[in-house]
Amino acid sequence: MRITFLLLCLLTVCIVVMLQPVFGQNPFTAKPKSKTQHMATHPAAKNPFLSMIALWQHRLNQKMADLVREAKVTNTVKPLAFLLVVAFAYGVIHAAGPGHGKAFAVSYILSQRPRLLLGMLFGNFIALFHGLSGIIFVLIIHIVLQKNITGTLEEVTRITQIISFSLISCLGLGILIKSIYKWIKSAKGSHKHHLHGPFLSALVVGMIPCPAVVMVMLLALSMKLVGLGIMLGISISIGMALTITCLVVMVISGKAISLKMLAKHGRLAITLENLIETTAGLMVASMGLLFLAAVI
Amino acid sequence: MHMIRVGKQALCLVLFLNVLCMGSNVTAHPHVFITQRLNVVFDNQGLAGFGVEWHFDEMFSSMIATDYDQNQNSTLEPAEVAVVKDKAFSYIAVYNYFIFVKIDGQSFKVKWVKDFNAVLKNGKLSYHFFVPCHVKAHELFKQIVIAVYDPSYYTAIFFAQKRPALVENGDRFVIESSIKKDKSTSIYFGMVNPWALFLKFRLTS
Repeated sequence: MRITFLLLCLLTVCIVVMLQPVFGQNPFTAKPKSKTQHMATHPAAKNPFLSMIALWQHRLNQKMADLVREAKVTNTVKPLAFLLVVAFAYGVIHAAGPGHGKAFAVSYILSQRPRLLLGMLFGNFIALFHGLSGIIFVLIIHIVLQKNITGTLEEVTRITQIISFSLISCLGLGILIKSIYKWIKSAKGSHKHHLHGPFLSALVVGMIPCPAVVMVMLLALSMKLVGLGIMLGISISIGMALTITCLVVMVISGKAISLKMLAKHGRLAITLENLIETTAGLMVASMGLLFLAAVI
Repeated sequence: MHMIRVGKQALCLVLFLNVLCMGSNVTAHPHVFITQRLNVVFDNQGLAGFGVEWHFDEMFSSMIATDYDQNQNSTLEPAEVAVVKDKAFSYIAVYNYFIFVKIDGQSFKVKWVKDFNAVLKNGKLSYHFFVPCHVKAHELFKQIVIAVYDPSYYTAIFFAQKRPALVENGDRFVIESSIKKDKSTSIYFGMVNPWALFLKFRLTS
């Protein structure tokens, strides 16, 4: 019963993952590619959590803007500490909503058997790269190139998406091929299977600039507060890191517990672990290819 | 003890699967926030249309101001408004300008809007435009639902807490209205019900 339940859950998760379309673009400033991805769908599962996240984000967004303005007008660092806390909270909540590479992170972690510390590093790196990418691209476009932000940023984001999704597809295919090879050879599940290169894998996932960081940076730049913008971008990234890392830890622990529950079945646990690895590899590769097809 | 352990494990597993499902949603979520007001306008026949006021968050405002307030004087002149309309408004025409109207349960597509204006004041951007929507009044109530939302959920649109909707020239009609979640419409993979103005009106007897 337990095994059937686990397999059904796994299948459901795969289906949910496969049905998701592309990363969003700003509908006000980006030329629409296809209308179909924006059409409303029929009710599936109400999620009041998402509405709450949107409302909290709106409030924190307003608070941050007010504090940045206060810092500018009063020319003091008094609101700074509170501002950084608000930015951090904004990052935590912002990353709790959909997106920010969590699907890739979860799938990738599922396909590996990382030590908890490496998994946490991986989660932190994703968020930090995601935020840093936003900071760096805004600085380059606005200060160095002095170009129009909206159009250029859309193009930069598109290029980073193409690079990121291509690499993610390769990564997924690599995991899948390795996993299939294991099945063919009927090799036993390796219990020394650790996460390889969390830094590089996180860079691949996190290189797409975070729009929230971009917007905070632009607000600060419009008031000629470059340093503050960078600090806020970093605070948001640290907040996002906390959320993504919690998610990664939960996945690692969840997978370990699921396998532990089946440990007494011996061979079955190994088969299930291999199955998870194959499915996760397939998910990573499919998502990478689907998103790549959507942005090209 | 065994039951507690199994319970804990089951809880962890549910949490784990919930995390997987949450993590799988990779699409856009709100990055732009709008507070809106609707101004419902009547003429001699009935409903003439409604004016829309969108007040953007300061971050999106600063992005638009940085790019399109060419002379950086913190206001938008007519020439700059035309560019804003072209570069940061007209693209949403394919999404019916985010405005989804139902007249007696039938969908009314918003294909065009008029009197667009963009205002930049104290660093805050607002859009103002009018949506023509003629509905003749009768003895029986006509039911109108105006839901304003970005189906991709990149933009979160909230009604203003103060004066979310106004009625203009409505003296000749019996008008009832309320603002609530439109349970018959779901966006973002069915997870969010947008807020809507529910309006009904008829001729005074």
